[in-house]
Amino acid sequence: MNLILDTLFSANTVSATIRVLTLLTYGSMAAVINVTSGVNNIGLEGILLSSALIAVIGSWAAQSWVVGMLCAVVWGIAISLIFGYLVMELKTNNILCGLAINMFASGGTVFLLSVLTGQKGSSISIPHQVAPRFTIPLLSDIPVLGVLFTDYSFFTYLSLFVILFVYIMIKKTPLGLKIRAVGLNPNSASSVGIGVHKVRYTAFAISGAIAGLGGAYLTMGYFSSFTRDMTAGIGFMSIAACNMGGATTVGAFLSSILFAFANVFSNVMQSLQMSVDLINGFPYFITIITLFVIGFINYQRKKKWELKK
Amino acid sequence: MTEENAYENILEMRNITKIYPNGFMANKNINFSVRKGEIHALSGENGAGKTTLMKMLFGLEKIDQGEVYIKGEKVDNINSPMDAIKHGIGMVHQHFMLVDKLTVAENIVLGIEPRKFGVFTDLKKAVKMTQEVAQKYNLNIDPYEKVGNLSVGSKQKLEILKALIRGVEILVLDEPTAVLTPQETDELFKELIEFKKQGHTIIFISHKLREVKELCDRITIIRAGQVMGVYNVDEVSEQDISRLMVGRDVILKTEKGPAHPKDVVLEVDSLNYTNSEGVKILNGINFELRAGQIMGIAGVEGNGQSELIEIITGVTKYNYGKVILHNQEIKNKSIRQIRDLGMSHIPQDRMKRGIAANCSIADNIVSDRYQKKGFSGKFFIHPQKIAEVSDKLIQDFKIFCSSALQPIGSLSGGNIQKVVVARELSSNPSVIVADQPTRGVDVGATEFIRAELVSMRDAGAGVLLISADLNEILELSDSIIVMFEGEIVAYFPDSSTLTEEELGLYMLGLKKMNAEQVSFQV
Repeated sequence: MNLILDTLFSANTVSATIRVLTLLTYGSMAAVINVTSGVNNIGLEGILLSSALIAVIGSWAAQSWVVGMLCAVVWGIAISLIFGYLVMELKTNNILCGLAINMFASGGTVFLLSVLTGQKGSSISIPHQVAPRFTIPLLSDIPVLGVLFTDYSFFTYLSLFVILFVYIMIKKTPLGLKIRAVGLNPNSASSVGIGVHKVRYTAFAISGAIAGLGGAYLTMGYFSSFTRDMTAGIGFMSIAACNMGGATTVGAFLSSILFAFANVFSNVMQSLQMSVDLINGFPYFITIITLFVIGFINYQRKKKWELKK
Repeated sequence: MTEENAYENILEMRNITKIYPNGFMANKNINFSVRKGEIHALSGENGAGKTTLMKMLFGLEKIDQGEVYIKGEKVDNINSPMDAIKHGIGMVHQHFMLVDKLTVAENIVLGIEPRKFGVFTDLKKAVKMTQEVAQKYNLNIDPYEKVGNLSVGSKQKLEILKALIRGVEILVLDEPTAVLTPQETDELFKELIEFKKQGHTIIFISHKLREVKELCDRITIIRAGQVMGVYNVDEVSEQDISRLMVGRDVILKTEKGPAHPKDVVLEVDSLNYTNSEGVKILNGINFELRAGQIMGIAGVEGNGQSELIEIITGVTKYNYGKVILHNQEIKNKSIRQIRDLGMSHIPQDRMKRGIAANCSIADNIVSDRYQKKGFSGKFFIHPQKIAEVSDKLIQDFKIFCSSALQPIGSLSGGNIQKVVVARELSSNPSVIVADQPTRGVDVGATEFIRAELVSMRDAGAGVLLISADLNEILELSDSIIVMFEGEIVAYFPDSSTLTEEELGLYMLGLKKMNAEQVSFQV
């Protein structure tokens, strides 16, 4: 038991959690913007996956991780806008559309990979630049907490700014007000002259860019090469985190922390040779428990509020 | 002549024609003009084309043919509400265009957000703008309140403010009084007259003739997409207007003999209901409905009437109390079992609960009886029988359609409602729950549906009538109960001498009867 606890609260676990958290943050922030604008995009998984490969290609071709990152961002925006076009102009069902993006990404990346490298499994044969890692000088010297500031990818630090950006954009700017209005009641927004499609395209573009950054992190920070279907459900987990957090920036981030921890926990347990079947279910088990707790808290709060009234 | 008066009409729509993709001609060569500073009524039956005309003016529908002149100048680029607002036209829709989860101030500035440092929304300024415009037009509203918590009357004020702050000069109000109590309506009229004094022009869409007479200066009457005439309101009578609207004389008063109540068919006994969010909706509801009686339930929407109806008809399950239909408690019965006991339900929202829009008229008619003997055998349904029954009902209820196999969704609202009424009244019911049976239905169909309900009463059925239209409640009911905040606050065993004003006081909670007065024990 001590072994378990020691492993769980070791510096390694903390840094592993933060690495997964970075990925989930990009995903869930992208999802928050989508949900706020009123259109759920389950194609997030596919956008993450495909931009991960695009990042590799860009970074390999230019031998510059910045170029790789920019390629991934542009790609994320493009796919997200195509999704928007299909859903808004051609009135396609958004779930089908998202599924199509996911399948396209899954198959398309393997195809592209085999064209470029002759291999279908990974991109190891085309070496590319990854993003640099940083250690924050003074903060990393703090005992215990220092681990929070030691040796993380550029993308991890960037993700903090992304959270701040999404929070301010949604809460404090006219664009955010419009996105919220369009998501809550498109008719009302359009009746005061807001172009609903325009606002949603903008929201999709921002969300696509963030998802593109997430994809770039996947191959230029989290891992250092592309592997087929490497996202392994992280996009869906981001959507789940977003919804569990009530589609708010802070809520989604907190849920992401929980998911990241659960994810790492199950990895740690596997290394301790517990039953794999049991452990694999852990993140999902956590999800159900948390949803139950959140539901219960909300119920109590409403009850209290009613009594006060 | 100064430039100000260079035009006679602030708005002119000339030779407007609109044909919908399904071939329906909604507007045919309509000429509509409004003078500056008048309140102009636009009246007609449902589906006559009033709303279509205004939607084109507001950029929500494309104009197929015709021209629009504003202040004497031709305008041909109104393609969105944004353009309309730029030209000084604002519209308050029948269904409010508000975002419930945002505050009043946020709703007001939506689309014209004041900025701070060029990037951020300046909420303080938004609040100030709201207060200023509210003060200017003397409309009292709290800028910080979430719109979802506002009353219907306040929401409407907010809608009007939204238009005014955008500097509109022509305000279009689409059936604004449909959701208001008499007192709220009076207040609205006072406000509208005030706007008129300040130089605004108002287009008032309504088919409530009394209101038109009371408020408006001129009236344009539309029937079946064509203008039937433009009059000064004080020069035409209500009868004239309704004849022009319908094309024949309408009996505005429903013929109704005295009621002969018999046994109790439906009894509700200390019914309490708390919804899934923990909010208490119904509190100790007691009443009885007798055979051969029409019992009206009056109340401002959202005071528990909808929930009461859902419970009585078995849609929602209840917590405490009893609902007894023909001496049987319905608590654990399915909707079909309740219907088999003789319950009929004309639901409030016909599109959602009343019909399946893509199915044929015939399918919709037999949807409550397809399993019964005659309609189906052991394995298959019997199409001839279904055709026979639906054809007969289409004839009896004067449903205007090409055949019973036509998808019901392609009918007009009034005809759809007639199908629902036909189905519900033809199942030989002993208790009829009619929830807003004539909402959004034209005068002709309204008259017909009301007469049918009365004849069902005379045939011995008990009718429970819920309506937002006080006139309808007073006209049809033999007895009336009034609901306020989930309780019965008044019971009038004989409602023949009751007035709308009296009823309004109870509906708004300004007056309340004591427990003894609302008791059904004789």
